Amino acid sequence: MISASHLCKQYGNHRACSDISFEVFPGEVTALLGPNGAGKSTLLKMLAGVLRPSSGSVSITSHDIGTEPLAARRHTGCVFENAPLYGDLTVGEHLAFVAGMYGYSGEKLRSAISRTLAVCCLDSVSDAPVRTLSRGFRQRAGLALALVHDPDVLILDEPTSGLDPVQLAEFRSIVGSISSGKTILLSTHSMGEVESLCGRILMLSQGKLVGQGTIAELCRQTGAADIGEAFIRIVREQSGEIFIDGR
Amino acid sequence: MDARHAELKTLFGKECRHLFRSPLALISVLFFLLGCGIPHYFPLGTVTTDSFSFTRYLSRIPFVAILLFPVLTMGLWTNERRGGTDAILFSMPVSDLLIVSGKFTAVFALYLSMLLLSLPVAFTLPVYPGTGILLCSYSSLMLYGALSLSAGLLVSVSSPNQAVAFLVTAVLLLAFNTIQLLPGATALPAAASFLCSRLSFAWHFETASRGILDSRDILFFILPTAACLGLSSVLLGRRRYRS
Repeated sequence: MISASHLCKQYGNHRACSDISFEVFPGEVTALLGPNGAGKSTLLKMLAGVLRPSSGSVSITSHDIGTEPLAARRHTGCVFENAPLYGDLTVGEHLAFVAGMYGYSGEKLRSAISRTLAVCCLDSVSDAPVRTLSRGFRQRAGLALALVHDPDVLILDEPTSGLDPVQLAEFRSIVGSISSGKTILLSTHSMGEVESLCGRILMLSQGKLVGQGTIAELCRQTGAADIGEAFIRIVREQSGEIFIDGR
Repeated sequence: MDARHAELKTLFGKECRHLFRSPLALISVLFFLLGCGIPHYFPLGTVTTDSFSFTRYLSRIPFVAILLFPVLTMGLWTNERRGGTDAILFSMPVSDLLIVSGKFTAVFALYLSMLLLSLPVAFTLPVYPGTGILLCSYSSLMLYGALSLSAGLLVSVSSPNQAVAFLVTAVLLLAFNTIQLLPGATALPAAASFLCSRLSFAWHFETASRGILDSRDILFFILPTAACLGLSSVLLGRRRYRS
């Protein structure tokens, strides 16, 4: 479970995130929507323990990320924007490195790697250096790194950006297959992805949480025909400082 | 094995793969060996085997290091930041000190391999320098490397880019390699002259070149090394507030 309470992030005079509170429960795939610059990546980095909040708190599976950062990070798997990877390492070496850092060794490590390679359909490229992979394989390798230690919480920051329709379908199918029992927060610009994968939605605009709820709830509140239209209406209304709470 | 040792070993392995696979490792080793050796073997443009001196050979290492160490350390953290891979490290359940230690041990291992490759020089000299001198000289060079590389890592963590990291590290090493010359070049108060000589690397190498390893020299290298590594981890922690 992810629990964020009154999260704020300030860069000098710029407030990237302002008083954000929400919860994401196990077994849920929750979408994080917002226009570019809304503060999505900042929020996700704070949840992943990469960035410290200026104020507020985050709890991952009951571990407060401020007071028990290592325990919280142990339960979290992350795919960061553009899936940063070490170009000179192979996919297998990446997985061995990450699994090793989460305390895996010997047979347990080998079995975690082979399981993850199979889940992410990366067997054919496990010995290839990451710099030689196509974008689709790189994104999958990024997801594999997040999954290799079987985390309870997955934080995915635009994991499908730049993928072609075939790669997109494959990626969605992988996320769908691993979602059972896990808490997944997925940042995306694709409304199709939201409709096919996500049960709940969080909407960010100008660093503020401007809406949350199911697709049906958000559509009903805004009078929109679909989630794409609801998103646009909520973001526009935010410019007029109107807050919509979907709960 | 203790969990932290296992994590350090994993991080060390990843950093070593990264370092030793890049052309930088081979070029650095060649630069190190040739940089120390060529002026030694060809001091006046001709081979003068009679003038071989092991101490003189080793005394060139700190000056070669002024260029070499900044090259090795400048990308240690700036490359992670540029490629976005720092987020991978920051999201792992390990302390910032362990991340710093993993990077430091890998680059130190590369330096040790260079020292190891320079050992045959001692055994091919017409006059064997003596086991005591050999052990003490190499020990002090190891300590010198540890301090210089940890300082380079600290600069890399705190620099905005590689060029700045290279320049700052090179200037720092140049300063500590030549500071003992300052009292001779300009009139300084006695206390300042004393400080200049005590702060210089050359002064702390001198006893080792005579086959004596002084505990004060060991502390001179070890304490700032630990301070640089500690400070690097503190700065990394502060990056979590800013990045």
